[in-house]
Amino acid sequence: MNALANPLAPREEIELNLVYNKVTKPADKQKKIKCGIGMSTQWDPAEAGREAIKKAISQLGYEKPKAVFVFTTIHYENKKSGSKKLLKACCELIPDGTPLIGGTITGFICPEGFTVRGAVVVAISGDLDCTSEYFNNVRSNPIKAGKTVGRKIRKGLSSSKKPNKVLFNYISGPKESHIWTTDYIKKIISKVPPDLFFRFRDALCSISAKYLQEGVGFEDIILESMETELKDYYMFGSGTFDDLKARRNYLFHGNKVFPSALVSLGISTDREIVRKRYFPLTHSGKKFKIKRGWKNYWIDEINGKPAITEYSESLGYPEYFIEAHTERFMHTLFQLPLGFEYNNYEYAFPTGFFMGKSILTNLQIKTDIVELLYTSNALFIKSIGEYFDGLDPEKRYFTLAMAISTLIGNFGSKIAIIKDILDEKSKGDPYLLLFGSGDFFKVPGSQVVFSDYSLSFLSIES
Amino acid sequence: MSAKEEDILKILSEDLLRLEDIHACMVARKNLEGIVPITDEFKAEITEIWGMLKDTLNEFFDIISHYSKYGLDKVTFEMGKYDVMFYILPGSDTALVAIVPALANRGLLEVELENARRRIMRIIETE
Repeated sequence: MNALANPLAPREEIELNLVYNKVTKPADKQKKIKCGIGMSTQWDPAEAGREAIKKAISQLGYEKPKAVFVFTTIHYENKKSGSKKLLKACCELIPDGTPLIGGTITGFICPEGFTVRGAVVVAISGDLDCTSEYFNNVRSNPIKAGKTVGRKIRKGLSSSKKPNKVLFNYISGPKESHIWTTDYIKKIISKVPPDLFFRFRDALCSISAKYLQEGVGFEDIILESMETELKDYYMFGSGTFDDLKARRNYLFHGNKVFPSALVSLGISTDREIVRKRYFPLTHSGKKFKIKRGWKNYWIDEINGKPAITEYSESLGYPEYFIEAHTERFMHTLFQLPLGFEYNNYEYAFPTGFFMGKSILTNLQIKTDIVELLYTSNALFIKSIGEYFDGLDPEKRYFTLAMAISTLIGNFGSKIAIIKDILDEKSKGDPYLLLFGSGDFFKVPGSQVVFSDYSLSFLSIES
Repeated sequence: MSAKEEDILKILSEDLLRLEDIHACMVARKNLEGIVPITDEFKAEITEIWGMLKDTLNEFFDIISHYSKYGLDKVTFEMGKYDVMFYILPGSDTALVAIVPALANRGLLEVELENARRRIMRIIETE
């Protein structure tokens, strides 16, 4: 039951002292927009949801939240309807109809801690207008999904007079198609001649996407179709993901859980927005000419040879090594992305999934030349410092940041260093760094960019 | 068992052993003295080779006690299908030890092991 629906006897409300609008922290009174961030590592989904949202709401000074984000690691889905229970617990403690979106991610860092097993809730209150939308089964028709949601968000905020508009998008990230990895299909793939392989592969990709809602997430297609409706918007968000296994991921809208969807939250505000993207990778100078396959998500050839043969040779690994040590090699490959430049933006993508002699990516490759890139933990850390140092020291902000999931694997226990820097640089203001599948970047008047390995920030003045 | 030991045991049993890829864990020093959950809580795969692993672990505690004072932070050794990760409690001869499958994503596990080590240190340092 909603805590606000029955103001006379909400036991939970009394226990929590959730007297919305009555208690306000004196220090926060000047803030036009407030942001609370709470996390939980409870195993029980309902307890985790309750704990995280209580913490987030208490940081608002118990003001009614205008919008809520909920992100969790995949662990809660190990229990039947785990995410649903977690969302239900959150929804019970916020007013009915409060826009709530989110999804599964690999991990996160917030002022309270860092984890790859838990839930985090962001609650925002104050002088802003909000609207949310979703589109289910997004892989069946990604263009329609983007256009429909874009149009609805624009309509939802059409009466708002506030000048700065931000769209937060979360889209189902890549999922390994289970039909690709069956022994039967593997046997067919190993036997068919190359020409037939590509036709067979393309058919499998289409079937997986359309009917099974698996495979690539079409994030770029969705965002580009959405962009035409929302040219004056900032965009922020990512693909949802799991514990780096790419088997399942979920999206949240209200108390609903979707395995393949787009969820969006539009806000408008008169507060300052700061949006910046970094590309913390080093260039190797090693460039490849590629032949692209199926909707530009595949690399079929590199320098005129089968993609895997040439790629493994160029990295100094014999091809049989990749076949024999796929899991171990994948971890190495996550640190060696490929990239390209297009319309003055740099893009990068991991090369961790193979079929036949081809390499699958999770974004559309837009050029025939790609370059081998190296991840750099040092550059990543430097970018965090640069971003926060560039914010106006006279103003207070809350900051959301996105980075690719694989980086949390690269950093391992050294993730504590990132947290220390975020704590120091944010000077006590709330922040949340999520590790998901790629990052969506857009500022008003410019194109939308979907890339992996970029580190992107959005700060809203409090 | 003291209250602090109980709290540490809770971290081992409830936070770490419930993770799919942590097959066994303990906070221990040489001869496996320390806080070790009952081996029934360890994953079944480990029990078959537990005796051999115990002997190997002991050798590493010698290295830990020698080099901990120089800031040795972590030691990992790979043995067959398993990796054994030692997260040394700073400046001591004691480590949080976890046995994980060799093909697990070590980076993700490291995040939770670091979290656990920090919580254990907070418990130890509490008056």
